[in-house]
Amino acid sequence: MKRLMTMLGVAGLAVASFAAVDDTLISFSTPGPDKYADGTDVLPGECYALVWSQDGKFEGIKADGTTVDPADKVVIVAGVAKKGANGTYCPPLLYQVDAELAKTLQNGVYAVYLLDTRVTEADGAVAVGGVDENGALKAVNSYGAVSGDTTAAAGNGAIAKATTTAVGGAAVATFVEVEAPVITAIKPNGTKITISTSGLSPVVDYKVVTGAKPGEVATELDAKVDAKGDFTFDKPANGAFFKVIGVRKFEAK
Amino acid sequence: MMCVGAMALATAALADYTDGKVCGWMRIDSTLPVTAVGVPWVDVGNTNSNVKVADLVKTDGLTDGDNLYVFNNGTWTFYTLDSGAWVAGTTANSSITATAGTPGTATIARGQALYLERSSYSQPFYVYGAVGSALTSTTLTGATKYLVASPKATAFTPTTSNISGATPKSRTAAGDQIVVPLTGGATRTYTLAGGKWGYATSTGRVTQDDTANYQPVPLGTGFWYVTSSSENSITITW
Repeated sequence: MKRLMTMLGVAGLAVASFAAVDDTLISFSTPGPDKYADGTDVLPGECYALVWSQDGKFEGIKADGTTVDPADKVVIVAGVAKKGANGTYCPPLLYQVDAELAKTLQNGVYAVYLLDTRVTEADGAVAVGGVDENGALKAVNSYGAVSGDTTAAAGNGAIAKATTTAVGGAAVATFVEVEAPVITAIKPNGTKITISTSGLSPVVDYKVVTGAKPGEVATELDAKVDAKGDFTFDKPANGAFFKVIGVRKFEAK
Repeated sequence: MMCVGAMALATAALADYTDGKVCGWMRIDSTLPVTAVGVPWVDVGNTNSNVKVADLVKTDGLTDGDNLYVFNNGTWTFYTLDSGAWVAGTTANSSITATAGTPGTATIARGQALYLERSSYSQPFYVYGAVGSALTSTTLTGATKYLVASPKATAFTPTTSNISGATPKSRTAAGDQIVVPLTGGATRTYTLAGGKWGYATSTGRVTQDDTANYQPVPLGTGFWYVTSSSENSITITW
């Protein structure tokens, strides 16, 4: 994903003082508690994304953090969720869209979305995935609009400012779309079999299940998927059937 | 528009995400130098299209120089295992007139079979692929000799219930025949006589009614269906 551009700040006055002519500043906050789709409190450090749609209809985000509609944009992601007395919330936040970018976004609509970027780490711990070193979102499980729309303005010789107000009960509401995986190849290798797959999503846990008949594939194999989407497991001496199944890592309640 | 989309996605989130195809492998316990291999699978990849010849029989248990032969209406094409991959056939068995096939694109349908010729044949081998949508029957017409096999992962028992259109054996005609290659180089020939399919043994004819002794075509094994006229239409229900 293209690196998320421009700046953001918490406690906007300091940032605002660096804003240049034709920059766009959008402030935002939530009172909390902000919730994931499973009803739990948002983790500290979770992300609020400033998104933009040309036609005012933001079509959503994919699991890899790109937008469903290529004409839409995730402009800035701020991993600023904070624990407070009223649960996790978004502290006062100032998105600064620099002038060059703002020119390309004018006449569209900005809105703020709360993202569920949780990942399960190697030790089983759940953490905010956020963005990688290139500013790209690692994985998005689900998302929800948490602000009203703000018309994008730029190029009028002034700093464009807008305050967008949190929608009551800020919460993630929409799961990213997940396709069914597809087995693309089966490769025996000595006592092992490797199956290659496509269409795997970073927000789904996958496993290979097997059985003696096509309608009885239910026993989980000891098969971990690698970065290429390949599963490798021991080849049983006799024939067997198998398929790949997946379950969302973070399901609704 | 966003509301509608959000509702649909939330519903989808409650389901598992499953590969559309069940795939599998089947062990063929043949110790024959030349084995008729049935095609039970379709291609992997959710297309339900015919499996590639080069994908069906994998390389485990095989030796470079082994050959695959595909029979179609009286002609053979063949493929040779070279450095662990099937390539266009190089040297065919001297008893078969065969042309080199195209392993990158050649496919074979369920209900058909092919021959695997091995230089080392003491171990089993495997066929791989995906389970296709139900193939309930195969109709044979336009030729007099077909190399076929059950598309199911089960043995096939020839009976009058699952074979229609067959010509019975008579005093003057051999009738239709099902010829199955067996371990040790023997064959078993089923014929239709007296309204029953059966085969000859050293102790007499065994028919489909003798369920305790009537042997099926073994799992994964292809067989020849031979009929007297290309105009005959035989339907095998699997």
